[in-house]
Amino acid sequence: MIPAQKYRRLPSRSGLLIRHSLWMQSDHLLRVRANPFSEQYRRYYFADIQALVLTELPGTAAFYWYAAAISFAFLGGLLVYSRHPVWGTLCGLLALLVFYFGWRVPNCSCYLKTSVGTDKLPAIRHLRAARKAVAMVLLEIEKIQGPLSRETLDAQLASGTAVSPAALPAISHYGGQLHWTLFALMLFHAALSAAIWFMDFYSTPLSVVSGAASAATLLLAILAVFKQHRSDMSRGVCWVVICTLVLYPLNGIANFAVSMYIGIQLASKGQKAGNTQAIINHPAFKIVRLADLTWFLVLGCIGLILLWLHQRTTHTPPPLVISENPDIQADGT
Amino acid sequence: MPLASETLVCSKCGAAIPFEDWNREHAFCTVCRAPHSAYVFPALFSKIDRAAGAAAIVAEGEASCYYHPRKRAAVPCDQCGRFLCALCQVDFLGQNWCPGCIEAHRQKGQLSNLDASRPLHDNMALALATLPAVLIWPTIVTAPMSLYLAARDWRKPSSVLPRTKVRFYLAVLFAVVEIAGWIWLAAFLIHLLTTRR
Repeated sequence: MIPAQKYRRLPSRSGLLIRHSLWMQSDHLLRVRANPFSEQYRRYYFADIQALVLTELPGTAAFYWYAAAISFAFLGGLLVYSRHPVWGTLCGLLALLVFYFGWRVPNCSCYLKTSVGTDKLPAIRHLRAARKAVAMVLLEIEKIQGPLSRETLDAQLASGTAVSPAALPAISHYGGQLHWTLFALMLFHAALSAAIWFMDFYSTPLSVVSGAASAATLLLAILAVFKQHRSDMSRGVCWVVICTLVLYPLNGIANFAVSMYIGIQLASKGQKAGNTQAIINHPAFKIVRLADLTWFLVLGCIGLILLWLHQRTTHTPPPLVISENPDIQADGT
Repeated sequence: MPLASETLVCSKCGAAIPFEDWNREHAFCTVCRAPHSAYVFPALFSKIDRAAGAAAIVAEGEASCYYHPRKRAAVPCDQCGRFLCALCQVDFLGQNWCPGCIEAHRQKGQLSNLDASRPLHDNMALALATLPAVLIWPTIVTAPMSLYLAARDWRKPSSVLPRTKVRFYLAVLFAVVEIAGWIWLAAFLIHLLTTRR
């Protein structure tokens, strides 16, 4: 048996059932993907590693933090309103679950490049551990390949040929105007739903406006999905739009089912099934309206906050003012 | 400017990282503004030129490659001593190996550095001893199976990572306890039946 050196663990790992981890020997990095009954290995020899890219993913957990905060707010509200601990407990459990997922969500991503391909390192998910792991790997690579100074790098790059345009991925910048409209419309729809919920009588104009706002929301959400595809829009905002599209048919089905149920109930009592006043006053209809209001309000708020954060981080600074004095360069020197 | 094949991209949006940002800490993606650090190493610029080494034709009186008799030998294999050309020489574990020796050692399971996957026999035995215990009855079959697996795979190579045999010990312990429990239950039932008669 050829004696093998012992592996050293790098401070990065991820997963529960399928676990990813990184290990190191004197000459190579080992990527391990383990399920409970087997392990798969991939070795990257330090002499073959060409590049290592570590990207921070700020704001990926923001959706979860806001959802947890809103759940906690609901917890307080429900406890005060219902004075029954079961609602508060349910909301608290939901908030804890969301909090846990928010804690688990990755805030960085890392891949390495060799001459045969580019591989993501799924074990590297959290920035603090990632920085330690990358520092250890860099040290070993430098021992094997030697340092690469800035001058050498510039000289190597200067001797190469230009980047082929085909190598650049087709990704576009998108300002998010459609998303602003969508989230604002969702809040408007939530406000209308709140007005209908609090009113004791049926108002035809209000219902027509609410229906139109709902239809416009659906249309804008579909357009937003197309618009955000292959754009630089943040993942959180994209997920809010997708959640809106998923919840929309569910909400429609719930509305339809409750209306049918109330109609049958009214008919069985000998009342007119199309009695809108009776439908509005029915507790089941009020619950559906409340759910409708809640999800429009929550998703609209989260969407607006995430979009604002995204625009703040992607804001392009104003161009430098070039001095009239020819002695002063643009960088101020 | 870098070559097209040398382009590094942002993990978040897929946009190319400008070469000015290579080997610089805390640069920002030009498209999505995500902070990133792109480290490049000398291997990015090294060109593999195996053809030149292997192209040399053997001249009169020169040693030739064992696998390619028309190619000039560059190094001997550190395992079997065969002469190898630059094409056949494999730099492995700090030594020069020939493809034949690598394949032979791999088939014998002597090169842990070449394994792409390994079964975790100890986890299997432990799972077999513990998980069915939730339903109690299946342990009448799974406990002996766990013991058998532990005995069969005790010496088989497990993970290439540092790992103790504690899972095997636990599997054996649980399996023995479960088997003892079943024996006790059987003895108790037999005793109950005989005393009732």
